[in-house]
Amino acid sequence: MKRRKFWFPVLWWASALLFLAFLVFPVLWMLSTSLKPSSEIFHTPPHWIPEHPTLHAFTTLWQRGNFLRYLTNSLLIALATTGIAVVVSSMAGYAFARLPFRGRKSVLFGILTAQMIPGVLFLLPIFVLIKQLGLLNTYAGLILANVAFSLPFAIWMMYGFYKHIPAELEEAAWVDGAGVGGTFFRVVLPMGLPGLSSCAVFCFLNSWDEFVFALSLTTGDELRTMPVGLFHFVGQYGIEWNYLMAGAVLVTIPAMLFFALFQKRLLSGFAAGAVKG
Amino acid sequence: MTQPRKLTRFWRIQTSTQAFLFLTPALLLLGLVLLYPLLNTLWLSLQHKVLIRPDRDAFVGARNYIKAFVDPRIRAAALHTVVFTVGSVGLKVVFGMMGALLLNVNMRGAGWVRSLYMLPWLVPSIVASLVWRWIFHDQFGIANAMLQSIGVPAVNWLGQDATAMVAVILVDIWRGLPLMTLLLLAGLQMIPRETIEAAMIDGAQAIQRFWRVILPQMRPTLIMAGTLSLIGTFNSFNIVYVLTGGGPAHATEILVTRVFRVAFQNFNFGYAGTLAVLIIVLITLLTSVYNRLLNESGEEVQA
Repeated sequence: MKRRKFWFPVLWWASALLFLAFLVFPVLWMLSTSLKPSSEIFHTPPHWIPEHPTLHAFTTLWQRGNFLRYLTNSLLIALATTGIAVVVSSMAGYAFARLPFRGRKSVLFGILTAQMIPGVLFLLPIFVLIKQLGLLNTYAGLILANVAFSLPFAIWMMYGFYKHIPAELEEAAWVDGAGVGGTFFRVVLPMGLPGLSSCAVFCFLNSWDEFVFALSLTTGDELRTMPVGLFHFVGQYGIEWNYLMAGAVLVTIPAMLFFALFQKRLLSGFAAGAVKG
Repeated sequence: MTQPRKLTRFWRIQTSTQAFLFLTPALLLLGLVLLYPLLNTLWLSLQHKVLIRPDRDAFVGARNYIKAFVDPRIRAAALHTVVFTVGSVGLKVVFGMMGALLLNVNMRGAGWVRSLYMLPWLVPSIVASLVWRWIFHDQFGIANAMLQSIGVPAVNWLGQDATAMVAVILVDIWRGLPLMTLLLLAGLQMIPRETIEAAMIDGAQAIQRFWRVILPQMRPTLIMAGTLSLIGTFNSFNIVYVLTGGGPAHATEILVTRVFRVAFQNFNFGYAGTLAVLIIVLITLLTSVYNRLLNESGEEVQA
């Protein structure tokens, strides 16, 4: 036992650091590159830590690029998507968890399958659809596509949460004279709140990461989201990796902030639902 | 007692009106943006339709499907998909299991390790691909710098068939490992403590304990997480598209990037529809396997 006491933490930390070296290093390298002046980028061998750290890449991006616009676009689309998806999926999830209706199992299976299908396969018909609706180059078009592709997972997640809430509470509320609406809004919704919030984080991260629709359902610079803006940088700034990495840092920070805010709930909610990996 | 009657009424009202009301918004949205495009794709898949030659548009029935099965490009893409998916998922399961065992230990500072471990999952996939493209840069990349510092000659990572595939797999593992670990950790924590402790009292060594006690109990979780990851990895469009664009010379072209190329570079919409349908059939099969596993583990579709 004594031997274990000494060696176990040493071994544990050694392997933990090995894992973290692989997982964290690229993020640090991105940060390090973004803080380098252009002259230092092509130094061989590369400096691990910038010799002359500077915010030059960030300020240049801010002046030259439309990053503020991309950020606003991304935020707007992600928040609207999240709001709509959470409301719609919490209702549908409740129906699947509580209300026995015909064809429930097949619809659920359909939704599970839909969750697994990548948006890129439907890109063409969705492009045509959005065009027919006159929603090309609009926020609404992108939000519609994002909501639809967040919904299957969100519904499954909310379904999982409601399934674990005992039905007796709703029955008691009903017996006490609350109506159908009252039961849902005063009992079901508050109980499902932890589920709701982790569902929101997932929809947000999903929408933040979305690339294919944002790339193809918009044409100009006006409606570009952060990932698309960054992707176009590759063409514009070709080999200026410090600018690219500064952009990459800017795209990543909001996602991390969101995660930091909701971390605890997120992880517990995560294990409960079926997840797209 | 009026209560039971009242309750029956409660559930009846719930069922008839609420189910309809509560499902309508979701079904409308899914119908419009998923089902309608799906039917559209099915219809498209039976046609010859190439954007630049509209005069040749025609209904061709199963001809596109026959073409798909003999198309050498598709055969190659299918092979790459298998290599990529099996390689990535296999390694994610192995290292995810190790990571889960690691994170399952209560140790001072373990909270920090756990948070940092999740980091790649928060990095948007486009960013992940760009960062790794920079790491793998043939002249100025840090990967080659590290190799050279230990005397290994530089490798043109993204410019050669085999190494490009290795790179794509590596990046997919990087981004997917946190999720896999999280799923396996959840499964690990469901194993009753007593089973593990009993094995310890028996004097079983840690490794024996792992193979004989932990692994058999983890089987359902491993299969489930593996299937889930299989479907996700199969669909890793963003990573492949941004990291290599399917290159060099189609060496990392997987099925989903191939569909994209057929549709938006060759503008062969009909054929792209056919490929999409075939992939969806495959995904549906995989999903039904996954659903069966969910059923067996008790998280079944019915409440």
